[in-house]
Amino acid sequence: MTDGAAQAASLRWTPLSYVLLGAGVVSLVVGVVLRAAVPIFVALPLFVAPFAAALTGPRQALRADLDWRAEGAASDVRLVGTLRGSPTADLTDVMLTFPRPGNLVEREPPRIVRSRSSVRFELRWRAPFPTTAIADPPTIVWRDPLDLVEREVRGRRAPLVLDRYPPELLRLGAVRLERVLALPGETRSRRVGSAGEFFGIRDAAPTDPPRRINWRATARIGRLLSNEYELDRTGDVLLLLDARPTRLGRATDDVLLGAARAAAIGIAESFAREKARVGYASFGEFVEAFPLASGRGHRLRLREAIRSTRGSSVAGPSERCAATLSRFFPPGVTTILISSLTGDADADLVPYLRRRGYPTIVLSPSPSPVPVTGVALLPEDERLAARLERLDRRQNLARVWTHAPVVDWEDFWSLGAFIRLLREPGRRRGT
Amino acid sequence: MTPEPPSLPRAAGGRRPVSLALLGLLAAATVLFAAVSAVPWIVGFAIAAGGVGGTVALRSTLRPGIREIAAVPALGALVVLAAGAPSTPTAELLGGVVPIALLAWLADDPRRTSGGVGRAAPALILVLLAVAIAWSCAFLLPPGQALVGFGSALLVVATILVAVLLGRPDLIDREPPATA
Repeated sequence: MTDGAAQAASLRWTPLSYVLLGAGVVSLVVGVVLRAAVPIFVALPLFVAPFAAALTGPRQALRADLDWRAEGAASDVRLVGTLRGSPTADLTDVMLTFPRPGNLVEREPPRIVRSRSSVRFELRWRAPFPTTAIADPPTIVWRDPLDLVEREVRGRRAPLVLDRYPPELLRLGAVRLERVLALPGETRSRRVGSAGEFFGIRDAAPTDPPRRINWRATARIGRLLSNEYELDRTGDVLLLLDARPTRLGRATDDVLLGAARAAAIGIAESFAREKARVGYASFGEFVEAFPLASGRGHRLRLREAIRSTRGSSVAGPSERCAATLSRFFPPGVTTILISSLTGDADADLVPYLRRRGYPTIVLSPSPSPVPVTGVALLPEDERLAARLERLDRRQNLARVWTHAPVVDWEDFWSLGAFIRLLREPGRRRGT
Repeated sequence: MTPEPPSLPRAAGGRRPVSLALLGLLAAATVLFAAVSAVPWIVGFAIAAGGVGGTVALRSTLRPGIREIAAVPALGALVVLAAGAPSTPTAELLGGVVPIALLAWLADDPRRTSGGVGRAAPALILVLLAVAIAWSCAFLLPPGQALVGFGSALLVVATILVAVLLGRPDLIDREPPATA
């Protein structure tokens, strides 16, 4: 254990202790100055109480392990967990403080149910926009009943990953993608799944759709059985995140980039689950690329890479992006560009990508639903501004549509239009 | 429609009702202390009511930073009343008991599990014992100025000790060393 950890688990005075001791000193000084005994009697319990609280508390740092998980879908974020103490630990006076990631808002105050050996809690947060966040474990301290001393509670606790994106992306993996392998052909996977060649029969799971149930086998055996299939790789896809600054300002850019990151994680997960080769690149001033690959390790690397993508303060030229991508990715790979298309040079990127041989589909998070802070307009001015913004946006999208299909992502919790577009190979190639 | 998942019960506003008996005890002890003080009774009553009322009001706010200093009005009223109190056994006893009543009331925090006073009882008894020893010494020993000076000297030593311990809380910590 480090010195810092030892320090963290030792006793600490709370602000109320300092208030009592301060009042005690004042009372003592008054008693001495006035040569009166009563203020000294008032000072005595104020001095003694913090030490009495420390002496009557637990003699060692408590130990308790945290077991928590995230539930809910789309904008609903529900964290439920239990803090379990060691057999001798009394958790009645344990206090939990939950740090909330900045892109989530509290829907209800935390619900906490305590017993001597455990503390159960439930947090209800809301994600206004698709997001990818990490919830740090709560700060857990034991505090004496008088609120005079406290000490950190030790134990196992891990941060939680909160990915919230439109639930429709879970079905995206069924989309057939083009392959760009040198020797195309059937690429068998060791995984079994929901599509491909018949592999075998297993007991049905509650999540299996009716089409996967083997009704003949079910009738013979007398319980629900499902078919399993050998997955084959469906193809390759490149996710390109435009992280360049726009004229909307840093705050709006961050919200849009957060939604873009969440969508990129959802898309990458869905395709990677079906054994497609997935590549990722982000473009700010320069390109950061992760070549096409599949497998669990690659999925984790992609997830981390997407999560750590931040907005750039300098916009690189579009041609640089296309030229750099050609060094990492073969031409012909289906490219999903996620860009708000509000930057000055955003519309130029698609022609450059097409010229280098990347069939591109643009998913464009719209800035319209993002609230603008610090600007107060009259209702009629607000309506006019919204109308002008819509016209400007329509013009931007139309300019890009001449080169590649564009999906205007305005309802952040739905990507139905995007999935429909991907399912039609003719349309997604822009032919 | 997907049914709402089962959730944990929640008290209204995350709080439970406070014990009025403890608040009554604090108010009664403070008013009694004001009555034995030398300040005019109406002024004393106003100081006592203001101190206790201010503390209750600050403690009922939702802001944690304010709640930490909620005891300040009651402590201020106590010091003011104590400054004007004569050195009689009753005043000295009440001077020691009122802060303990305040501590007992603080232990009944509506945001925490009920039974706080019971769990804080060992610490409160320790404080009560210290006050009882000091008061009985003052009451049984012959009165005089020397006693005040003696007590003050002891408390100055205690203050220095407090100052030292504030910087070294580990002196009373029983946590085993990391290398053990």
